[in-house]
Amino acid sequence: MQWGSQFLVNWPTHLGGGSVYVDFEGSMVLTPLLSL
Amino acid sequence: MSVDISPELTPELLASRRNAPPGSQVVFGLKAIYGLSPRSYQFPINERESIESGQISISADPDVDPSFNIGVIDYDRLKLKVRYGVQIVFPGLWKLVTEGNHDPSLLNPVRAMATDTCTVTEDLRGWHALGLLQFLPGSIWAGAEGG
Repeated sequence: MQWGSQFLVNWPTHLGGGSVYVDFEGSMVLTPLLSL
Repeated sequence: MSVDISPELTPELLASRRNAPPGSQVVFGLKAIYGLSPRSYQFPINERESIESGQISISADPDVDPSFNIGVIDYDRLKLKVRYGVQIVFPGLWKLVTEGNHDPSLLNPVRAMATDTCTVTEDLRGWHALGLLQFLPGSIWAGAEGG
């Protein structure tokens, strides 16, 4: 299935702090395991 | 040794469970993931310097136990939550290593754990998520995580 996600990454202080939003677009393959 | 038998556990109860219609929630395993970032980003390499990441490639981490990659989809609410391990490739690191005096170990796979919480499209063909990404030890960005 089509997949897209936006991740917010916070940098630790030794990398200067701050943050960045990173987007990905692509696909995932899912296999049903159990119906609840 | 005696065994207590619950009076609530009856053959009729078991039969009703067996014949119950399937629920709207499905647990699934994530077998593969492929993705690209639409653009390059500024990624820090220390407190003062950063590099252009280049177009980032993301794929399933082959070193993660398959049982880690799991999720639940609720078809009634069109909600999905999934957790998975990924390896991420940054072309900017290749440029950093080949053009500068930097440790080639920077080219080792960057590993991370991701958790997506998202709404599934009404045609059930896909979804868009707001995810948490946690970089694992072993990469230049270890310790970075979503907030």
